Amino acid sequence: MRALAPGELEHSRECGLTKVLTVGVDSGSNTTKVAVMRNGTIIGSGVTFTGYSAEKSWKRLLEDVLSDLGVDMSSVGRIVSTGYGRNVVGIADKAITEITCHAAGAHFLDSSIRSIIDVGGQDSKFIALDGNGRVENFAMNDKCAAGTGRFLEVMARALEVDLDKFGEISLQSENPARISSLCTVFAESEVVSLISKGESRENIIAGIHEAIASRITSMINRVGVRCPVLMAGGVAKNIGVVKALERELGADIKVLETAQVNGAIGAAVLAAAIEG
Amino acid sequence: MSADKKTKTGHKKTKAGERLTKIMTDYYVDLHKGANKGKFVVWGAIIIPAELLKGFDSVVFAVPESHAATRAAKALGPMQCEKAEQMSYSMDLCSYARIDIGTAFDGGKGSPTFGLPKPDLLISNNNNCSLLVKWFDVYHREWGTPHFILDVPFCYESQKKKDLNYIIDQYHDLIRILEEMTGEKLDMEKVQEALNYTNEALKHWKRFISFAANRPSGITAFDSFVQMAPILTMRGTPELAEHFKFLADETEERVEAGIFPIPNERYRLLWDNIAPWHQLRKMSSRLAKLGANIVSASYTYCFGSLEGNFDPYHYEGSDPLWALARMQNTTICPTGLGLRCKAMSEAIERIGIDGVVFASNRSCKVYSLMQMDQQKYISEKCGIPTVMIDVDHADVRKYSEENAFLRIEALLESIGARRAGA
Ligand code: SF4
Repeated sequence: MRALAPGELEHSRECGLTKVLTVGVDSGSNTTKVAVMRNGTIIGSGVTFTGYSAEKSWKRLLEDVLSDLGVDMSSVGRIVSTGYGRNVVGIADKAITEITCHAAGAHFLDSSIRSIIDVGGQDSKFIALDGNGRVENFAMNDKCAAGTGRFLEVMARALEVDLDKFGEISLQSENPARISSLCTVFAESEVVSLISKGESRENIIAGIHEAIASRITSMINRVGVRCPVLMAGGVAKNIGVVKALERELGADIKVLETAQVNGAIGAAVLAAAIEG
Repeated sequence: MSADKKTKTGHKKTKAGERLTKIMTDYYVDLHKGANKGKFVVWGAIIIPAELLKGFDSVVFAVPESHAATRAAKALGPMQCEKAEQMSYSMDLCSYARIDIGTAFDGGKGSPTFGLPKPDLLISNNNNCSLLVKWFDVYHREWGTPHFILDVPFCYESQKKKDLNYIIDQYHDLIRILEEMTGEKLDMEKVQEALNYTNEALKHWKRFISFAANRPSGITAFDSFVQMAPILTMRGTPELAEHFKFLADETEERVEAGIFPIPNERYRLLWDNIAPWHQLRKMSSRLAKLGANIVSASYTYCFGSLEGNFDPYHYEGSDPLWALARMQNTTICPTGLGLRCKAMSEAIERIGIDGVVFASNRSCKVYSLMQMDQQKYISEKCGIPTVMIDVDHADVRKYSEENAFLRIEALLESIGARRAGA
């Protein structure tokens, strides 16, 4: 992501160019993400918790991101919304699903990408792209929370460990525990019983990562993995899940710094492509 | 004014829509009246040979599955399901069964048709699923009602002659039992007459659903779902034949006059599974806003077609038992994956389908079990985008609108992107 050069926007205005920014808003079940684009470059982004009001969250976040860039809504042209709350972003010119937005985001950031694993708070998706970055096929988890960020949150609570530390801790495990239940509630009881048996935290957490990776891999196999693979979504920050997935898939997984805002970036890219 | 009446699908009710309400009301009224006058009440599964029952003047026919669908469409599904669940029937059972058991043991309370009159004979079959047999067995156990089970062999290729004869043999047993129980002799001429009415009705049904091939489509699958009620309950009657003629004629007139349910149709979809009864209006109007129309559905071909073919079968011979046995292996159940794929891919081609929505149904495992393989086959063979969504046909508690629409909208975007890239 390139930062905005000092005076860049002012320069545009002086040249009579207003509404020079395009914006992507990804209103997810757990977090809301915003990305701002200008002249084919992403110049700003942000993440916040969605909380009770999806509408308040995206509005506040967008204002913050714009104010960090030293601009306001008057500089914003097209907006595309995505995510579960895509229809609550009233000012958006278009609502587009996360599937298409993730594909656009990944293709924009690295045009060689052919598969995307997106694990978010409420669902997990696998998207296969054709050579032009278009969605060729996709699969999503069914109603069950297993294989999603929510599964990890529940486990973190049971273990009283900060979710951000999960990845690091799991790397110290030598013998991952076996979590066999696919159901989140049953898996939580399994974790509680492992704790009471004195199993180490690192082994339990590594076991949780293996369980989630195996669940996601069966979803991926419905479509078929193709390389290079990019991982997006908040869970991509968890190195333990990424490593477990690489082992299960037998493939390397790229994780970009922008993993969590990939969908919002895609939305901003698609906003820039809207004609008229 | 009648012209302003809205249908479940959100658009103006057609005359055939109004007519349907009337004939279904008459059917339920006649059913209850007949039972009150001491007629012999048969409860049957949807695909049993209803025409055979028309050979007995003293018999009236009730269809628990269709009755359950009516309640689900009127948003009464969860309430009735809960009644069954409180009686310890598992939530994993088919929602039709839970709705029906819940209503039957509550004396029809909460049913818009006041339930069904108590049966004298239960006739089920295992064409569709074995759950249905167990469901009917509940009434057999609780009320002591005799239960006749038709065993229909599964087929992976065209129905075998020995299987057809095996079904005919069972029909003879059924006839004997009905004659003994009703004290009436079967009139085979009336069975033939009933079969002729069904044939006539299916001819018009085929005309009606064929308007899906028109661009824009002359129908939505949601209209077809609703219009299916009499196929399930009134087979073998002149009323059914007349109604479907009216339906097809009216649709033809509308198409000729340029009246289409989704005039700005941009996406033509096919639906695979039972109708989502609790979502008819919501789903069709949300799709309409996106310029999408589910123009056709495998479910609307589930009666009267033969294995491996979506089109209703037209029988021209004079052996009613043969014809009724032949029609036991329909397009959907009980047929193997190869036949289902063949029927669907031909229909996709004929109707001009842009994408398929495979609705994985929590209740109906038999319909859903093969869908993943079928989805793969159709995507590869027909080269069109497909999607799998989670539904339950009659229990809204197992359905998430946003989850379903995320997938459906992604399907539409895929169709759009392919067009843009083509
Ligand atoms: S499970 Fe399917 S086939 Fe069986 S009764 Fe229910 S809806 Fe019918």
